[in-house]
Amino acid sequence: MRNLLRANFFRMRRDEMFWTCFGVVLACSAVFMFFWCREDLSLGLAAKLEEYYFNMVMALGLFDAMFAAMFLNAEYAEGTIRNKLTAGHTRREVYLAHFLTVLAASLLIMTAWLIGGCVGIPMIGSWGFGLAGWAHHVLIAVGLTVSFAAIFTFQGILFSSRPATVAVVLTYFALLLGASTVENILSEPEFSSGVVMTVDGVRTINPEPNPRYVSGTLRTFLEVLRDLLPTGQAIQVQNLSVLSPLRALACDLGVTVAFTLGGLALFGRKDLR
Amino acid sequence: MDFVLETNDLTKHYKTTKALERLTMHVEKGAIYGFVGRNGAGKTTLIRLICGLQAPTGGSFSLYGCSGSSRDIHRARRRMGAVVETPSIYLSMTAEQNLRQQYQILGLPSYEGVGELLELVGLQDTGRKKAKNFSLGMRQRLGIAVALAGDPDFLILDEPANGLDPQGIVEIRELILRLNRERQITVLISSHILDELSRLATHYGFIDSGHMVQEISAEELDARCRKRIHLTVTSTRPLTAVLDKMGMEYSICSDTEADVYGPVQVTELTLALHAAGCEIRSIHEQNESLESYFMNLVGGGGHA
Repeated sequence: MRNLLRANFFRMRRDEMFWTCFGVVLACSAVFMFFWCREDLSLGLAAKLEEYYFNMVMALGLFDAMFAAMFLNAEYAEGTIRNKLTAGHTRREVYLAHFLTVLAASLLIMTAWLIGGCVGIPMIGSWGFGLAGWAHHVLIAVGLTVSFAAIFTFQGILFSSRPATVAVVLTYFALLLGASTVENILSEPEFSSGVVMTVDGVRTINPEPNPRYVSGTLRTFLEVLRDLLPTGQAIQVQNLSVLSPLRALACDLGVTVAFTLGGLALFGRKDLR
Repeated sequence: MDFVLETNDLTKHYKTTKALERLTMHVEKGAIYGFVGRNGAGKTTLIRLICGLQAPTGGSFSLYGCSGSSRDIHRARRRMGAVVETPSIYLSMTAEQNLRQQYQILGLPSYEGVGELLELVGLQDTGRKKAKNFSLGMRQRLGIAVALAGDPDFLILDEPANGLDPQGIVEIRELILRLNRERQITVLISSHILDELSRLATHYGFIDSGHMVQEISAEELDARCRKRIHLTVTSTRPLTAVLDKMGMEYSICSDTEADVYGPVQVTELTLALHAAGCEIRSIHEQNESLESYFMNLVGGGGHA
């Protein structure tokens, strides 16, 4: 497997899609941070770095999906996966080597975001919640990146046609849509506001229960679902509202193990051309 | 006999089709084995099974005596190289980078042999040109170079002449012959360009609808395809006496049939047989090419 990893990294270093994703994330992270901070300074607001720093985390999955789709599809489109199997490597080794390569690339793309965002430090200062707070959120970002890598590797290796490349990217948007829907449901307030605007001015009334508020088992289920979706975790990191970091990391572990074991089992039986 | 590859009743069924049906074949060490069959006969399916790209539905195969179902088959596969259907190369890489990539996959300690391999396939001057800008022939040769990276002693080539121009076909042929003669590499070539195959192969396997119809050595095939007169006579006993007397080469097919080789003076033979009390019932000249031999064998009705 070490040989396969070496070979995959050799190719990754020369992969245009990887460097494009890395460059775009680095540039976007730096440029957006610069403009956000400049606007902040011009308005005299005293925003903290973390309010902007984690905005990019939402987009990381898209770049991970693009890289994984192109990198893995080339193995089928150019037939090079055959070289690995004919050279005597097992399917298990081939699958795991691809997963680790996609993971490494995704983490490097994440690093581009982390570096680019530092442009804001000389402008508005360091993170308000300190390095520990930063590490706490970055750890969740690492966890969700591992989940993304497992999901996109599963798709990229098991579905070998050209349209499957697009499907990998569409999966990201599906995950994003799913997470946004869950987040919207969960963010409904329990009670309607006690303050209403009338023609006579602002009036205070007794707050009433919000019919759209979800409670009990369904709420717990949706909270777990939000943590299971890497995009759900990304929304929490972006909003600096990670409620249960341990549960989020456990969900990442579960998603990664499930997709990798499933992928290994299915890839082992797949007829390759 | 020493076999590099043996299959025994090897079977592969897809959902609705039977690609291989109890196929048995033997590839002798040092041979250039021409695997002949129509499109869809099952040639590529067999190669995919050998390369581990697909699993057989039934039967077995062994590579260097190692069973396809054993754990050690991965080790045995290290001794072979293959080009299946299209050359397996990264189009965004140069020829040298492709070979370096394969060296890493194989875990070879250095890139020492890369230059030699490029020279062997005639791609030493391609420099920084990426494989996507190569001609079909160059890609095919690069594919072969990649397959040769592990210094294999068994090379599988699936339709290596497909889509090549005449010059490309000659280049590939010369390369295969050189590999077989100079490096003693056993080669399995699947092809339906029979004329091209007949210039290379030392052994043939004819496949039709997933079945092995016949395995035959090139010498045997040459003998069968040799120009001859097929005679049907009342009895071959006087015929043999006459042919011996005339000093002609022949083979007896049955009590009433025989093949006579070499130039035959038909009038002289007819008179001699008449004198010996033997009558000729029919006489046919036969001169088969590999193509007509194959068509006769599988019954025509399609293209090889």
